[in-house]
Amino acid sequence: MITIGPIVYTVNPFTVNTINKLAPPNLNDFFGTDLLGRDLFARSILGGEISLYISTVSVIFSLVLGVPLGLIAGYSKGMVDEVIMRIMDIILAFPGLVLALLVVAVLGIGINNAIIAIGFTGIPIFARIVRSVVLKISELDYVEAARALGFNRWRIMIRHILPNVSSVIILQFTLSLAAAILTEAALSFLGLGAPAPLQSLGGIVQEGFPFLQNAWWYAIFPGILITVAVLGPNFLGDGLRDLLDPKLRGSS
Amino acid sequence: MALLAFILRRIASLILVLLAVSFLVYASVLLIPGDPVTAILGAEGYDPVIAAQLRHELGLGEPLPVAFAGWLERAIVGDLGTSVVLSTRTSISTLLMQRLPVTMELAVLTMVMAVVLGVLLGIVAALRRNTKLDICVSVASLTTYSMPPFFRGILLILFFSIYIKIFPSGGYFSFLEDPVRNLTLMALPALSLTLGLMGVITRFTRSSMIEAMEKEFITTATAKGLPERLIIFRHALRNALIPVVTVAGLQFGALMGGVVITETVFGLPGIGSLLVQGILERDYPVIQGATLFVTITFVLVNTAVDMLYSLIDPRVKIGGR
Repeated sequence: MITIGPIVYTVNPFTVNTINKLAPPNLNDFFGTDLLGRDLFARSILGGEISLYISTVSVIFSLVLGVPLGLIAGYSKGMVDEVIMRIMDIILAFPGLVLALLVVAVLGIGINNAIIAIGFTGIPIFARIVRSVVLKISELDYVEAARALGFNRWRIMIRHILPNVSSVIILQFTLSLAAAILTEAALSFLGLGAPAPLQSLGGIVQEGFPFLQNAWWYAIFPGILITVAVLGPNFLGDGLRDLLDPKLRGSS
Repeated sequence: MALLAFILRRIASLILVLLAVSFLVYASVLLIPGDPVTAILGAEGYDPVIAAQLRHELGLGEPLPVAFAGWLERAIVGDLGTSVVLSTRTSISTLLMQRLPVTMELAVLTMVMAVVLGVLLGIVAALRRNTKLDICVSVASLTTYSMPPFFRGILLILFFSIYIKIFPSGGYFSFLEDPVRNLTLMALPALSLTLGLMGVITRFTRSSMIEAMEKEFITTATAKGLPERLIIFRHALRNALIPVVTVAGLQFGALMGGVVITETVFGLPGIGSLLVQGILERDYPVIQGATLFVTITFVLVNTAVDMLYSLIDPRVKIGGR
Protein backbone atom coordinates (compact mmCIF):
# COMPACT_ATOMS: atom_id res chain seq x y z
CA MET A 1 0.00 0.00 0.00
CA ILE A 2 2.82 2.33 0.86
CA THR A 3 4.64 1.43 -2.34
CA ILE A 4 1.70 1.95 -4.67
CA GLY A 5 0.28 4.86 -2.69
CA PRO A 6 1.99 7.71 -4.50
CA ILE A 7 0.86 6.43 -7.90
CA VAL A 8 -2.84 6.34 -7.11
CA TYR A 9 -3.06 9.18 -4.62
CA THR A 10 -1.68 12.46 -5.75
CA VAL A 11 -2.65 15.01 -3.10
CA ASN A 12 0.37 17.10 -2.14
CA PRO A 13 1.37 16.29 1.44
CA PHE A 14 2.87 19.76 1.83
CA THR A 15 -0.21 21.79 0.85
CA VAL A 16 -1.04 23.93 3.86
CA ASN A 17 -4.70 24.80 4.38
CA THR A 18 -5.15 26.30 7.83
CA ILE A 19 -8.91 26.79 7.46
CA ASN A 20 -9.31 23.04 7.14
CA LYS A 21 -7.09 22.18 10.11
CA LEU A 22 -7.61 19.09 12.29
CA ALA A 23 -10.52 18.00 10.13
CA PRO A 24 -11.84 14.51 10.94
CA PRO A 25 -11.58 11.78 8.31
CA ASN A 26 -13.88 12.47 5.34
CA LEU A 27 -14.15 11.62 1.68
CA ASN A 28 -11.59 14.23 0.73
CA ASP A 29 -9.04 13.38 3.39
CA PHE A 30 -9.37 9.70 4.36
CA PHE A 31 -7.17 10.16 7.41
CA GLY A 32 -8.35 13.69 8.25
CA THR A 33 -6.00 16.66 8.32
CA ASP A 34 -3.26 17.84 10.67
CA LEU A 35 -2.70 21.06 12.58
CA LEU A 36 -1.77 22.95 9.41
CA GLY A 37 -4.62 21.45 7.42
CA ARG A 38 -2.32 19.16 5.49
CA ASP A 39 -3.85 15.95 4.21
CA LEU A 40 -2.83 13.20 6.67
CA PHE A 41 -3.29 10.37 4.19
CA ALA A 42 -0.81 11.95 1.80
CA ARG A 43 1.56 12.72 4.67
CA SER A 44 1.30 9.17 6.00
CA ILE A 45 2.14 7.71 2.62
CA LEU A 46 5.17 9.93 2.31
CA GLY A 47 6.08 9.18 5.93
CA GLY A 48 5.67 5.47 5.28
CA GLU A 49 8.06 5.67 2.34
CA ILE A 50 10.62 7.41 4.54
CA SER A 51 10.13 4.81 7.30
CA LEU A 52 10.56 1.94 4.86
CA TYR A 53 13.53 3.61 3.17
CA ILE A 54 15.36 4.11 6.47
CA SER A 55 14.60 0.63 7.81
CA THR A 56 15.39 -1.22 4.56
CA VAL A 57 18.69 0.57 4.06
CA SER A 58 19.65 -0.06 7.68
CA VAL A 59 18.97 -3.78 7.39
CA ILE A 60 21.07 -3.85 4.20
CA PHE A 61 23.77 -2.05 6.19
CA SER A 62 23.61 -4.73 8.93
CA LEU A 63 23.62 -7.50 6.33
CA VAL A 64 26.54 -6.14 4.33
CA LEU A 65 28.70 -5.93 7.44
CA GLY A 66 27.29 -8.85 9.44
CA VAL A 67 27.27 -11.60 6.81
CA PRO A 68 30.98 -11.35 5.85
CA LEU A 69 31.94 -11.16 9.53
CA GLY A 70 29.93 -14.31 10.27
CA LEU A 71 31.36 -16.08 7.21
CA ILE A 72 34.93 -15.25 8.14
CA ALA A 73 34.42 -16.13 11.80
CA GLY A 74 32.70 -19.42 11.09
CA TYR A 75 35.14 -20.51 8.39
CA SER A 76 38.38 -19.42 10.04
CA LYS A 77 37.56 -20.58 13.58
CA GLY A 78 40.25 -20.11 16.23
CA MET A 79 41.51 -16.64 17.09
CA VAL A 80 39.77 -14.79 14.25
CA ASP A 81 36.44 -16.32 15.22
CA GLU A 82 37.04 -15.53 18.88
CA VAL A 83 37.89 -11.86 18.24
CA ILE A 84 35.00 -11.22 15.84
CA MET A 85 32.41 -12.89 18.00
CA ARG A 86 33.55 -11.18 21.22
CA ILE A 87 33.17 -7.82 19.48
CA MET A 88 29.69 -8.86 18.39
CA ASP A 89 28.91 -9.87 21.98
CA ILE A 90 29.84 -6.41 23.16
CA ILE A 91 27.46 -4.79 20.67
CA LEU A 92 24.78 -7.24 21.79
CA ALA A 93 25.46 -6.35 25.43
CA PHE A 94 23.52 -3.13 24.86
CA PRO A 95 19.72 -3.19 24.65
CA GLY A 96 19.10 -2.49 20.94
CA LEU A 97 17.18 0.74 21.23
CA VAL A 98 19.54 2.12 23.86
CA LEU A 99 22.54 1.57 21.59
CA ALA A 100 20.70 3.19 18.67
CA LEU A 101 19.92 6.15 20.93
CA LEU A 102 23.59 6.42 21.92
CA VAL A 103 24.67 6.44 18.27
CA VAL A 104 22.13 9.15 17.44
CA ALA A 105 23.26 11.14 20.48
CA VAL A 106 26.81 11.07 19.15
CA LEU A 107 26.14 11.62 15.45
CA GLY A 108 23.17 13.96 15.71
CA ILE A 109 19.68 13.83 14.24
CA GLY A 110 19.16 13.00 10.58
CA ILE A 111 18.06 10.33 8.14
CA ASN A 112 21.57 8.99 7.46
CA ASN A 113 22.47 8.96 11.13
CA ALA A 114 19.28 7.04 11.91
CA ILE A 115 20.29 4.49 9.26
CA ILE A 116 23.74 4.08 10.80
CA ALA A 117 22.28 3.79 14.30
CA ILE A 118 19.72 1.13 13.37
CA GLY A 119 22.05 -0.69 10.99
CA PHE A 120 24.92 -0.84 13.47
CA THR A 121 22.69 -2.39 16.14
CA GLY A 122 21.66 -5.15 13.72
CA ILE A 123 25.12 -6.34 12.66
CA PRO A 124 25.68 -9.01 15.37
CA ILE A 125 22.47 -10.90 14.63
CA PHE A 126 23.52 -11.52 11.04
CA ALA A 127 27.07 -12.39 12.08
CA ARG A 128 25.88 -14.88 14.71
CA ILE A 129 23.36 -16.64 12.54
CA VAL A 130 25.63 -16.88 9.51
CA ARG A 131 28.50 -18.13 11.68
CA SER A 132 26.44 -20.90 13.26
CA VAL A 133 25.36 -22.20 9.84
CA VAL A 134 28.85 -21.87 8.38
CA LEU A 135 30.30 -23.86 11.27
CA LYS A 136 28.05 -26.76 10.30
CA ILE A 137 28.47 -26.45 6.53
CA SER A 138 32.25 -26.14 6.51
CA GLU A 139 32.47 -29.63 8.01
CA LEU A 140 30.60 -31.15 5.06
CA ASP A 141 32.34 -33.34 2.50
CA TYR A 142 31.84 -31.08 -0.47
CA VAL A 143 33.63 -28.22 1.27
CA GLU A 144 36.40 -30.63 2.17
CA ALA A 145 36.55 -31.60 -1.51
CA ALA A 146 36.79 -27.98 -2.59
CA ARG A 147 39.59 -27.49 -0.09
CA ALA A 148 41.38 -30.59 -1.39
CA LEU A 149 41.11 -29.21 -4.92
CA GLY A 150 43.19 -26.31 -3.68
CA PHE A 151 40.64 -23.51 -4.11
CA ASN A 152 41.50 -20.50 -2.07
CA ARG A 153 39.48 -19.76 1.04
CA TRP A 154 37.66 -16.73 -0.37
CA ARG A 155 36.44 -18.74 -3.32
CA ILE A 156 35.25 -21.53 -1.04
CA MET A 157 33.49 -19.06 1.26
CA ILE A 158 31.75 -17.14 -1.50
CA ARG A 159 31.09 -19.80 -4.12
CA HIS A 160 30.55 -22.88 -1.99
CA ILE A 161 29.36 -21.83 1.42
CA LEU A 162 27.49 -18.56 0.93
CA PRO A 163 24.78 -20.01 -1.36
CA ASN A 164 23.86 -22.49 1.36
CA VAL A 165 23.55 -19.78 3.94
CA SER A 166 21.32 -17.62 1.78
CA SER A 167 18.01 -19.07 2.98
CA VAL A 168 18.93 -18.26 6.56
CA ILE A 169 19.99 -14.75 5.50
CA ILE A 170 16.70 -14.16 3.71
CA LEU A 171 14.74 -15.29 6.75
CA GLN A 172 16.78 -13.07 9.04
CA PHE A 173 16.33 -10.17 6.61
CA THR A 174 12.55 -10.27 7.02
CA LEU A 175 12.74 -10.51 10.81
CA SER A 176 15.37 -7.77 11.03
CA LEU A 177 13.26 -5.58 8.76
CA ALA A 178 10.33 -5.83 11.15
CA ALA A 179 12.62 -4.95 14.05
CA ALA A 180 14.19 -2.07 12.12
CA ILE A 181 10.79 -0.55 11.29
CA LEU A 182 9.99 -0.63 15.01
CA THR A 183 13.31 0.94 16.01
CA GLU A 184 12.95 3.61 13.33
CA ALA A 185 9.45 4.36 14.55
CA ALA A 186 10.72 4.63 18.12
CA LEU A 187 13.56 6.97 17.15
CA SER A 188 11.30 9.25 15.16
CA PHE A 189 8.59 9.18 17.82
CA LEU A 190 11.20 10.44 20.29
CA GLY A 191 12.04 13.21 17.83
CA LEU A 192 15.37 11.64 16.93
CA GLY A 193 14.57 10.27 13.47
CA ALA A 194 13.99 11.97 10.15
CA PRO A 195 13.57 15.71 10.83
CA ALA A 196 10.64 17.88 9.62
CA PRO A 197 9.22 18.37 7.05
CA LEU A 198 10.14 14.88 5.90
CA GLN A 199 8.97 13.05 9.01
CA SER A 200 8.46 9.33 8.94
CA LEU A 201 5.34 7.71 10.39
CA GLY A 202 6.68 7.73 13.95
CA GLY A 203 7.28 11.47 13.69
CA ILE A 204 3.69 12.08 12.60
CA VAL A 205 2.43 10.03 15.56
CA GLN A 206 4.55 12.17 17.88
CA GLU A 207 3.07 15.32 16.31
CA GLY A 208 -0.46 14.01 16.69
CA PHE A 209 -0.10 12.64 20.22
CA PRO A 210 -0.92 15.93 22.03
CA PHE A 211 -4.16 16.18 20.02
CA LEU A 212 -5.35 12.70 20.95
CA GLN A 213 -8.41 14.01 22.78
CA ASN A 214 -9.70 16.27 20.00
CA ALA A 215 -8.25 14.72 16.90
CA TRP A 216 -7.64 11.02 17.52
CA TRP A 217 -7.04 10.34 13.82
CA TYR A 218 -3.87 12.43 13.84
CA ALA A 219 -1.85 9.85 15.81
CA ILE A 220 -3.92 6.71 15.28
CA PHE A 221 -3.86 6.27 11.50
CA PRO A 222 -0.09 6.63 11.08
CA GLY A 223 0.32 4.27 14.06
CA ILE A 224 -1.87 1.65 12.39
CA LEU A 225 0.23 1.97 9.25
CA ILE A 226 3.41 1.24 11.24
CA THR A 227 1.79 -1.83 12.80
CA VAL A 228 0.72 -3.08 9.37
CA ALA A 229 4.21 -2.45 8.01
CA VAL A 230 5.74 -4.50 10.84
CA LEU A 231 3.15 -7.28 10.59
CA GLY A 232 3.97 -7.84 6.92
CA PRO A 233 7.60 -8.95 7.30
CA ASN A 234 6.78 -10.73 10.59
CA PHE A 235 4.15 -12.88 8.89
CA LEU A 236 6.47 -13.46 5.96
CA GLY A 237 9.28 -14.44 8.32
CA ASP A 238 7.02 -16.83 10.23
CA GLY A 239 5.92 -18.47 7.02
CA LEU A 240 9.49 -18.74 5.76
CA ARG A 241 10.64 -20.25 9.02
CA ASP A 242 7.97 -22.93 8.90
CA LEU A 243 8.93 -23.61 5.31
CA LEU A 244 12.67 -23.80 6.00
CA ASP A 245 12.57 -25.67 9.27
CA PRO A 246 10.92 -29.06 8.92
CA LYS A 247 11.07 -29.51 12.69
CA LEU A 248 8.52 -26.77 13.25
CA ARG A 249 6.10 -28.14 10.69
CA GLY A 250 2.91 -29.36 12.25
CA SER A 251 3.50 -27.66 15.56
CA SER A 252 2.19 -24.35 14.29
CA MET B 1 35.04 -28.19 41.00
CA ALA B 2 33.68 -27.96 37.48
CA LEU B 3 30.91 -25.76 38.82
CA LEU B 4 33.30 -23.40 40.58
CA ALA B 5 35.50 -23.12 37.49
CA PHE B 6 32.40 -22.48 35.42
CA ILE B 7 31.22 -19.69 37.70
CA LEU B 8 34.68 -18.12 37.86
CA ARG B 9 34.97 -18.17 34.08
CA ARG B 10 31.56 -16.55 33.72
CA ILE B 11 32.51 -13.84 36.17
CA ALA B 12 35.77 -13.18 34.33
CA SER B 13 33.99 -12.81 31.00
CA LEU B 14 31.32 -10.69 32.70
CA ILE B 15 33.98 -8.28 33.92
CA LEU B 16 35.49 -8.08 30.43
CA VAL B 17 32.11 -7.29 28.88
CA LEU B 18 31.39 -4.66 31.52
CA LEU B 19 34.78 -3.04 30.87
CA ALA B 20 34.22 -3.04 27.12
CA VAL B 21 30.73 -1.59 27.51
CA SER B 22 31.95 1.17 29.83
CA PHE B 23 34.75 1.96 27.40
CA LEU B 24 32.31 2.28 24.49
CA VAL B 25 29.99 4.49 26.50
CA TYR B 26 32.91 6.62 27.61
CA ALA B 27 34.68 6.83 24.26
CA SER B 28 31.49 7.63 22.33
CA VAL B 29 31.90 11.23 23.48
CA LEU B 30 35.14 11.44 21.51
CA LEU B 31 33.30 10.50 18.33
CA ILE B 32 31.12 13.61 18.44
CA PRO B 33 32.01 15.58 15.31
CA GLY B 34 34.08 18.67 16.18
CA ASP B 35 35.09 19.62 19.71
CA PRO B 36 32.87 17.62 22.08
CA VAL B 37 32.70 20.30 24.76
CA THR B 38 31.63 23.02 22.34
CA ALA B 39 29.15 20.63 20.75
CA ILE B 40 27.65 19.70 24.12
CA LEU B 41 27.45 23.19 25.58
CA GLY B 42 26.44 24.91 22.35
CA ALA B 43 27.73 28.21 21.03
CA GLU B 44 25.51 30.44 23.15
CA GLY B 45 25.58 29.88 26.88
CA TYR B 46 29.18 28.73 26.63
CA ASP B 47 30.56 29.15 30.13
CA PRO B 48 34.36 28.74 30.39
CA VAL B 49 34.10 27.47 33.99
CA ILE B 50 31.61 24.74 33.11
CA ALA B 51 33.53 23.97 29.94
CA ALA B 52 36.72 23.45 31.93
CA GLN B 53 34.92 21.25 34.46
CA LEU B 54 33.31 19.18 31.70
CA ARG B 55 36.65 18.89 29.91
CA HIS B 56 38.12 17.55 33.13
CA GLU B 57 35.22 15.17 33.84
CA LEU B 58 35.41 13.75 30.35
CA GLY B 59 39.18 13.52 30.62
CA LEU B 60 39.70 15.37 27.36
CA GLY B 61 43.26 16.38 26.61
CA GLU B 62 44.67 13.37 28.40
CA PRO B 63 45.78 10.25 26.53
CA LEU B 64 42.83 7.90 26.04
CA PRO B 65 43.83 5.07 28.43
CA VAL B 66 44.60 7.52 31.24
CA ALA B 67 41.40 9.45 30.64
CA PHE B 68 39.31 6.29 30.57
CA ALA B 69 40.95 4.91 33.69
CA GLY B 70 40.20 8.15 35.53
CA TRP B 71 36.59 8.21 34.33
CA LEU B 72 36.10 4.55 35.22
CA GLU B 73 37.63 5.00 38.65
CA ARG B 74 35.19 7.79 39.40
CA ALA B 75 32.28 5.85 37.87
CA ILE B 76 32.97 2.84 40.09
CA VAL B 77 32.69 4.91 43.25
CA GLY B 78 29.44 6.36 41.90
CA ASP B 79 30.67 9.66 40.51
CA LEU B 80 29.32 9.85 36.99
CA GLY B 81 29.86 13.58 36.57
CA THR B 82 27.31 16.37 36.64
CA SER B 83 24.56 17.37 34.27
CA VAL B 84 25.61 20.20 31.95
CA VAL B 85 22.16 21.71 31.69
CA LEU B 86 22.63 24.96 33.56
CA SER B 87 19.40 24.99 35.55
CA THR B 88 19.88 21.58 37.10
CA ARG B 89 23.63 20.94 37.41
CA THR B 90 22.79 17.89 39.52
CA SER B 91 25.15 14.99 39.93
CA ILE B 92 24.26 12.13 37.61
CA SER B 93 24.21 9.50 40.33
CA THR B 94 21.67 11.56 42.32
CA LEU B 95 19.52 11.87 39.19
CA LEU B 96 19.73 8.12 38.55
CA MET B 97 18.87 7.24 42.13
CA GLN B 98 15.90 9.62 42.12
CA ARG B 99 14.52 7.98 39.03
CA LEU B 100 15.43 4.36 39.67
CA PRO B 101 12.32 3.46 41.77
CA VAL B 102 9.98 4.49 38.94
CA THR B 103 11.77 2.39 36.35
CA MET B 104 12.17 -0.55 38.70
CA GLU B 105 8.50 -0.59 39.65
CA LEU B 106 7.50 -0.43 36.00
CA ALA B 107 9.91 -3.20 35.00
CA VAL B 108 8.94 -5.55 37.83
CA LEU B 109 5.18 -5.01 37.34
CA THR B 110 5.58 -5.65 33.63
CA MET B 111 7.73 -8.75 34.00
CA VAL B 112 5.32 -10.33 36.51
CA MET B 113 2.23 -9.52 34.45
CA ALA B 114 3.84 -10.63 31.19
CA VAL B 115 5.04 -13.97 32.54
CA VAL B 116 1.79 -14.83 34.36
CA LEU B 117 -0.53 -13.80 31.52
CA GLY B 118 1.79 -15.07 28.78
CA VAL B 119 2.22 -18.52 30.32
CA LEU B 120 -1.52 -18.87 31.02
CA LEU B 121 -2.49 -17.86 27.48
CA GLY B 122 0.21 -20.13 26.08
CA ILE B 123 -1.13 -23.13 28.01
CA VAL B 124 -4.68 -22.42 26.89
CA ALA B 125 -3.58 -22.05 23.27
CA ALA B 126 -1.55 -25.28 23.45
CA LEU B 127 -4.42 -27.28 24.95
CA ARG B 128 -6.95 -25.91 22.48
CA ARG B 129 -4.51 -26.30 19.64
CA ASN B 130 -5.71 -25.31 16.15
CA THR B 131 -9.11 -24.17 17.39
CA LYS B 132 -10.51 -20.70 16.79
CA LEU B 133 -9.35 -19.69 20.26
CA ASP B 134 -5.77 -20.74 19.48
CA ILE B 135 -5.77 -18.79 16.23
CA CYS B 136 -7.18 -15.73 17.99
CA VAL B 137 -4.43 -15.89 20.60
CA SER B 138 -1.76 -16.25 17.90
CA VAL B 139 -3.05 -13.35 15.82
CA ALA B 140 -3.53 -11.13 18.86
CA SER B 141 -0.05 -11.80 20.20
CA LEU B 142 1.57 -11.23 16.81
CA THR B 143 -0.36 -7.97 16.41
CA THR B 144 0.48 -6.52 19.82
CA TYR B 145 4.06 -7.66 19.35
CA SER B 146 4.23 -5.88 15.98
CA MET B 147 2.93 -2.62 17.39
CA PRO B 148 5.44 0.06 18.24
CA PRO B 149 5.48 0.46 22.06
CA PHE B 150 4.42 4.10 21.90
CA PHE B 151 1.43 3.19 19.77
CA ARG B 152 0.25 0.58 22.25
CA GLY B 153 0.51 3.29 24.89
CA ILE B 154 -1.43 5.78 22.80
CA LEU B 155 -4.20 3.27 22.07
CA LEU B 156 -4.49 2.50 25.79
CA ILE B 157 -4.67 6.20 26.62
CA LEU B 158 -7.31 6.74 23.95
CA PHE B 159 -9.40 3.88 25.26
CA PHE B 160 -8.88 3.95 29.03
CA SER B 161 -8.35 7.62 29.77
CA ILE B 162 -10.18 9.48 27.01
CA TYR B 163 -12.96 7.12 25.99
CA ILE B 164 -13.96 5.43 29.25
CA LYS B 165 -11.91 7.59 31.63
CA ILE B 166 -10.92 5.03 34.25
CA PHE B 167 -7.17 5.47 34.25
CA PRO B 168 -5.19 8.70 34.11
CA SER B 169 -3.07 9.19 31.00
CA GLY B 170 0.14 10.25 32.69
CA GLY B 171 1.96 11.64 35.68
CA TYR B 172 3.59 10.03 38.66
CA PHE B 173 3.09 9.63 42.41
CA SER B 174 5.48 7.60 44.50
CA PHE B 175 4.15 4.36 45.92
CA LEU B 176 5.08 5.37 49.48
CA GLU B 177 3.18 8.65 49.22
CA ASP B 178 -0.05 7.26 47.82
CA PRO B 179 -0.10 3.56 46.88
CA VAL B 180 -3.52 3.58 45.22
CA ARG B 181 -2.79 6.60 43.10
CA ASN B 182 0.62 5.19 42.22
CA LEU B 183 -0.89 1.94 40.98
CA THR B 184 -3.62 3.61 38.93
CA LEU B 185 -0.91 5.72 37.29
CA MET B 186 1.30 2.70 36.68
CA ALA B 187 -1.51 0.50 35.34
CA LEU B 188 -1.52 1.74 31.75
CA PRO B 189 2.26 1.97 31.26
CA ALA B 190 2.72 -1.51 32.71
CA LEU B 191 -0.13 -2.91 30.62
CA SER B 192 1.30 -1.31 27.51
CA LEU B 193 4.70 -2.93 28.09
CA THR B 194 3.11 -6.23 29.11
CA LEU B 195 1.21 -6.48 25.83
CA GLY B 196 4.51 -6.19 24.01
CA LEU B 197 6.41 -8.80 25.99
CA MET B 198 3.52 -11.19 26.45
CA GLY B 199 3.29 -12.16 22.78
CA VAL B 200 6.71 -13.78 22.69
CA ILE B 201 6.18 -15.57 25.99
CA THR B 202 2.77 -16.86 24.87
CA ARG B 203 4.15 -18.18 21.61
CA PHE B 204 7.04 -19.88 23.35
CA THR B 205 4.93 -21.42 26.08
CA ARG B 206 2.51 -22.70 23.46
CA SER B 207 5.09 -24.43 21.27
CA SER B 208 7.05 -25.72 24.22
CA MET B 209 3.85 -27.04 25.86
CA ILE B 210 2.84 -28.77 22.65
CA GLU B 211 6.24 -30.37 22.44
CA ALA B 212 6.09 -31.49 26.07
CA MET B 213 2.59 -32.92 25.67
CA GLU B 214 3.85 -35.17 22.88
CA LYS B 215 6.59 -36.70 25.03
CA GLU B 216 6.34 -40.32 25.99
CA PHE B 217 6.15 -39.72 29.72
CA ILE B 218 2.92 -37.80 29.18
CA THR B 219 1.48 -40.74 27.28
CA THR B 220 2.57 -42.95 30.16
CA ALA B 221 0.98 -40.63 32.69
CA THR B 222 -2.25 -40.59 30.68
CA ALA B 223 -2.17 -44.36 30.39
CA LYS B 224 -1.75 -44.61 34.14
CA GLY B 225 -5.00 -42.71 34.40
CA LEU B 226 -3.69 -39.60 36.14
CA PRO B 227 -6.12 -36.67 36.16
CA GLU B 228 -5.60 -34.27 33.24
CA ARG B 229 -5.02 -31.28 35.49
CA LEU B 230 -2.16 -33.05 37.21
CA ILE B 231 -0.62 -34.11 33.91
CA ILE B 232 -0.76 -30.60 32.54
CA PHE B 233 0.59 -28.73 35.53
CA ARG B 234 2.87 -31.24 37.23
CA HIS B 235 4.35 -33.01 34.25
CA ALA B 236 4.05 -31.03 31.04
CA LEU B 237 4.30 -27.48 32.34
CA ARG B 238 7.39 -28.18 34.41
CA ASN B 239 9.27 -29.38 31.38
CA ALA B 240 7.86 -26.70 29.15
CA LEU B 241 8.83 -23.84 31.44
CA ILE B 242 12.62 -24.15 31.15
CA PRO B 243 12.90 -22.51 27.72
CA VAL B 244 10.18 -20.05 28.71
CA VAL B 245 12.28 -18.79 31.61
CA THR B 246 15.15 -18.10 29.24
CA VAL B 247 12.95 -16.34 26.73
CA ALA B 248 11.43 -14.21 29.45
CA GLY B 249 14.92 -13.29 30.61
CA LEU B 250 16.04 -12.45 27.12
CA GLN B 251 13.03 -10.16 26.74
CA PHE B 252 14.66 -7.92 29.30
CA GLY B 253 16.53 -6.02 26.59
CA ALA B 254 13.33 -5.35 24.69
CA LEU B 255 11.77 -4.36 28.01
CA MET B 256 14.51 -1.77 28.57
CA GLY B 257 13.92 -0.29 25.12
CA GLY B 258 10.18 -0.32 25.76
CA VAL B 259 10.68 1.37 29.12
CA VAL B 260 12.48 4.29 27.45
CA ILE B 261 9.54 4.90 25.13
CA THR B 262 6.73 4.09 27.54
CA GLU B 263 8.10 6.43 30.20
CA THR B 264 8.20 9.18 27.61
CA VAL B 265 4.63 8.52 26.45
CA PHE B 266 3.18 8.45 29.97
CA GLY B 267 5.39 11.19 31.38
CA LEU B 268 6.92 8.95 34.04
CA PRO B 269 10.09 10.37 35.61
CA GLY B 270 12.20 7.22 35.20
CA ILE B 271 15.65 6.47 33.83
CA GLY B 272 14.33 5.92 30.30
CA SER B 273 12.79 9.36 30.05
CA LEU B 274 15.96 10.78 31.63
CA LEU B 275 17.96 9.28 28.77
CA VAL B 276 15.65 10.76 26.13
CA GLN B 277 15.69 14.13 27.85
CA GLY B 278 19.49 13.95 27.98
CA ILE B 279 19.71 13.32 24.25
CA LEU B 280 17.27 16.10 23.37
CA GLU B 281 19.18 18.55 25.58
CA ARG B 282 22.58 17.24 24.44
CA ASP B 283 23.37 16.65 28.11
CA TYR B 284 26.16 14.19 27.48
CA PRO B 285 27.06 13.16 31.04
CA VAL B 286 23.38 12.30 31.56
CA ILE B 287 23.36 10.23 28.36
CA GLN B 288 26.52 8.39 29.41
CA GLY B 289 25.26 7.76 32.93
CA ALA B 290 21.82 6.53 31.90
CA THR B 291 23.15 4.38 29.04
CA LEU B 292 25.78 2.84 31.28
CA PHE B 293 23.26 2.13 34.02
CA VAL B 294 20.69 0.53 31.74
CA THR B 295 23.28 -1.52 29.85
CA ILE B 296 25.00 -2.82 32.97
CA THR B 297 21.63 -3.88 34.39
CA PHE B 298 20.89 -5.64 31.11
CA VAL B 299 24.25 -7.44 31.10
CA LEU B 300 23.83 -8.56 34.71
CA VAL B 301 20.31 -9.87 34.09
CA ASN B 302 21.46 -11.72 30.99
CA THR B 303 24.35 -13.33 32.84
CA ALA B 304 22.07 -14.33 35.70
CA VAL B 305 19.52 -15.88 33.34
CA ASP B 306 22.25 -17.65 31.45
CA MET B 307 23.81 -19.13 34.57
CA LEU B 308 20.43 -20.10 35.95
CA TYR B 309 19.62 -21.83 32.69
CA SER B 310 22.87 -23.78 32.72
CA LEU B 311 22.20 -24.84 36.28
CA ILE B 312 18.58 -25.89 35.72
CA ASP B 313 18.89 -27.66 32.41
CA PRO B 314 20.98 -30.82 32.66
CA ARG B 315 21.39 -30.86 28.88
CA VAL B 316 23.59 -27.78 28.98
CA LYS B 317 26.99 -29.16 29.76
CA ILE B 318 28.72 -27.01 32.31
CA GLY B 319 32.24 -26.17 31.26
CA GLY B 320 31.53 -26.60 27.57
CA ARG B 321 31.01 -23.58 25.37
